[in-house]
Amino acid sequence: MTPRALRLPADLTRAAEVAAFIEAACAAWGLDARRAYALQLCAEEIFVNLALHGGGEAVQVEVTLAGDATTQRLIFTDSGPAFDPTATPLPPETPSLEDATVGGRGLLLARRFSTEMTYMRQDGLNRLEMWFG
Amino acid sequence: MDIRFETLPASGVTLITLTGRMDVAGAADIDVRFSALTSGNRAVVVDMVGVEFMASMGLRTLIMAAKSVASKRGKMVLYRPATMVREVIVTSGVENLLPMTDDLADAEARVSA
Repeated sequence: MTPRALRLPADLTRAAEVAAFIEAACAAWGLDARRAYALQLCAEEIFVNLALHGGGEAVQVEVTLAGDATTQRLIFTDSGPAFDPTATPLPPETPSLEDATVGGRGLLLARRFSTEMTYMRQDGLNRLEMWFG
Repeated sequence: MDIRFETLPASGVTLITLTGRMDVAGAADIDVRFSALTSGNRAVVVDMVGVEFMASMGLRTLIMAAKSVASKRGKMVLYRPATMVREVIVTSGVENLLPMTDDLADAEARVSA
């Protein structure tokens, strides 16, 4: 299938457009519920992280989906400051609610729900590739 | 997202029912109401069966609520989360903070203890 692409600013209020874009591709490929969930989750986590920590609305994001019914590749390219989501430390295990931090688990989820994740800084852009299957 | 609550007659436990997509927008929809309900109760069961999707912003909402209940020596248990929602919680390594059960009587007993 020809790769599909979506371009938008890293604006938190636009997250639903990313979800709709992913959902349409999953339906077209006829992906099972588990794979569709993994793609939705990874797309949301990376987009939300860009909107909150990656420079926000001034940053342009391109989301590309390529692949077929078996293997999919989700690519995020953005014009924000260099940031490698594959190199961030994992949040510590928390034994009690008193000590638990409320957030900070999005990138961990994206790493664990994708089969493979690679990062490159190229021509002043961040390029994150996630493989599924 | 939609949020509703009731008090279970026999146990007095607060049952909060969440419905919809618990993504960044969904979590924002319910945050204020959910936090008001959980800060005012010490025995809370959250019915998750109507939540078809949850990402880290939804997880954040649940952990905030569980912290709030625990700070008053109360307990919060998640009731019948969908398979993938359960997997998100386990994969995040927070299943010890957000106990889950598929049995309502068990959920009530655990938060009442």
